[in-house]
Parts: sequence; structure tokens; C-alpha cells
Amino acid sequence: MTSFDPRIADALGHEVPLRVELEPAWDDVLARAGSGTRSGPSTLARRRWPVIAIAAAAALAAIFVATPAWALVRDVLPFWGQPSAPSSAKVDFSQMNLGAPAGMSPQAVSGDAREIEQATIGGETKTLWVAPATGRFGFCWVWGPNLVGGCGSSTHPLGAAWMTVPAHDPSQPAQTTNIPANSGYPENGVPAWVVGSANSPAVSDVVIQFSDGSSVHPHIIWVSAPINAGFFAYDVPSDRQSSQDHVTAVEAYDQNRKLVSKQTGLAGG
Amino acid sequence: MTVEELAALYNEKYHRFVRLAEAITRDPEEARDAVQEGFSSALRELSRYKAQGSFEGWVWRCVMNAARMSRRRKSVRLAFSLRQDPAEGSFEAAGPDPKLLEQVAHLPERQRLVLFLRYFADLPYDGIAEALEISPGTVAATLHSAHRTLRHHLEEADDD
Repeated sequence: MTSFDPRIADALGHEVPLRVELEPAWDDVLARAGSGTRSGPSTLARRRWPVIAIAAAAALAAIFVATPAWALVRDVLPFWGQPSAPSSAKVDFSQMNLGAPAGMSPQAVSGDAREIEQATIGGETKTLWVAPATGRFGFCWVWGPNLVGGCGSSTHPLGAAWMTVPAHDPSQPAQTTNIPANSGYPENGVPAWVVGSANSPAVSDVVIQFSDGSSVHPHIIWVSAPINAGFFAYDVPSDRQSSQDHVTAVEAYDQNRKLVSKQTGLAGG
Repeated sequence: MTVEELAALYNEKYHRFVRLAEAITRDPEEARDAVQEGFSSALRELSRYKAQGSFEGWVWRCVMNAARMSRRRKSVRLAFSLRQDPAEGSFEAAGPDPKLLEQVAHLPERQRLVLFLRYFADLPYDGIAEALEISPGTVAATLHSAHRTLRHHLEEADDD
């Protein structure tokens, strides 16, 4: 295949943007096939008003129902207003699609990737890039360069990824080794950092639990449609990477403090 | 091929079909309608589909044909106009090089469609070939030509 050029993807994506707000309507396909008649412009024109009316009704409903949970309480970053992701990140998203097994491609739209935030992870400044996806995931994300990536969908309210390092003796100086996430210290390791996404508007808070019963609330950056998710990153202090004191779980809560999702098993052994 | 497989393809790649259709019609409403028409046409012709090429490529062809029909009906001119979506324009940061956008818009239609299919449809060469009713070798050559044209511009821009 001719190589993927992110600048060309950008230009194509700018010329014809992805319209994720449109909903598939298979029933309409069946109806058209059944009738055996062409729907010309007049049919389209007739349909346009109901679509607008439904959209307007949905927008009003969103103002009265969803706004308190999603927009007013949170600062939501407008996705399309963020800077375009660099070429290297777009290539990462493209490779996510190409590297997936047959039928499992997340269909990340690499040309539409945006830069969201920066954070210190593993002692280094890393950048979060996010792209909409049109497959079974709603979006994909990459912390880079060369850290970790994944995809999320609203059917799984919480997604988390972490890197483990060998637990150190609290009486000794903390280790500063930077071990790639996939290098494998799962057996007796403890998390050195945790990143993830809150994939549902129902999630109001993310809590990282420690083995001593304490917890921290990582800051969540909420991102608007078409992503509709929040992202967090937590760099575990080196003095909390011991067998006695380490991260054990990540939890997501709704606005009523009800647990909606929990990720355990972060520390092995 | 079954109706269920066609429905699965529709649901999985709906937004990509709309995007390609819009690259032809230049109108989102027409594009949406063309996707519905293309799939209903595929559904009607499903029993006649001979599994000789890429099934997905054949469906893409149905949608592209519907989009082309729509364009003819509307007599939409393919004159380039820089897109400015009022809903997003106020947010949009610096976009791609306007000259590159113009270059993309002025590519021959086959080259534009090959690029869209390559970048946004996730189709292999034989799928693109089936969709455009050309040979896989022509797909490779067309893609190469489009890239060469655009990269030539990009290199010129880099030199400036």
C-alpha cells in the first residue's frame, strides 16, 4: 500500500468532515428496497422537516435533562476547537486500524485526531491525542509519544490502562526505571501510572484506590461530541509504589456517589 | 451474502459511506439520501450478486452510483468552494494548507475517490477496484498519481 500521509488525510477530512451526528436508519433502507421506488429530491425534502423537528426536540430535551449532568457541572472542552494532532499521532491511530485483527478494527478516524492535554506520566511530559471512531468504539486515544493507546465506548463506562513496576522497599530510595507498558511486570508489580477514560455521561467522578484504604480523585478533562468522554492521568508518587502502599483499583461513580464501574487487579502478586 | 451481512456492513460503516457520498454530492443531505438509496439498491440486487469480487467493494459501488445519480439529478457543479461549516467554524483552529485543499478538490474524480476509499473506507486494493470498476493495478497507479501530485505541492510548500 502507498504510505499513509497524515497531511493528505487532514485535507480530505477537512473537505468532507465526518458527520457522527447522523444516525443510521436500516429500517428506511428496508422500506425503500421494499417499495422498489426511487426516493427523489421531493421525498428528501419531505423528510427534512421531521428530521429537523426531531433534532430540535432532542436538543430541547438535552437542555432540560442532560445539561445539569454533562455541560453545566463540567467544563467541557470543544473537541473540534482543539489543535489538530501531529502527523505522528495520526499515524498511530491509522496503525490501530491496520493492526487490528480482521473485523476488529476500531475504525479510528485518524485524520480528525485532536490534541487534548499534556500531563506528566512516568516522569515525562506526555500528550493526549483523541480521535473519533466509527466502529464499535466511539473514540480512540493515544498518550504519546510512545506510551499507550486504546479505545472506548459508552457501553463500558470506565476504561483504564496502567504500567506496573516491581514494588520497592519503602526503606530504600525509589526506583526511577521507565519500563514500557507491555514489558511485563504483572506478577508482583505495582502501578507506576494510571491513565484512562470515563466513557459515559453517567460518570461524575473517578477514584483511584490505594491498598491502605486512601484514595485520590484524578482531574478529568471532559471532551465534547463526537467524543463525549472524560480523560484522566495519574502519576503514582514513587513512595506509593511499594508492596505496602500501592494503587489497587480505579472506580467510576455517578453524581449520586453510586459505583458504576470498577477496575481491579492493577497490582499483581 | 445475506441481508444480515449487508445490514451489519451498513451499521458498522454507515458514517464512512456518508462521508464518501458527500465527497461526490457535496451536500450532506444528498449524501445521506444516497447511502440509503445505495443500500436499498444493493438489497434489491443481493440475490443477483455473484461472489466474484469483494462484496464490500460491490456495496461501495452501489452507494457511489447512487451518489452520482443524485449529483446528476441536482446538477451540482463540482466547482471547488472552501467548506466553512458555521457550526464548527468558530471553533476551528488553523486547518490544512488551503492550497492543499484546493489541490485535493481539483484532482480528477477517480483520484479523489481512490484517496477517500484508501484513507476513510479501510478497503484493500481489490475492494477499491471493485468499488470503482477498475483493476487493482489501476488502483495502485491512480493512488500513486494522486499522492505524487499532492506531495509535489507539499514539498513545494516545505521549500517556501
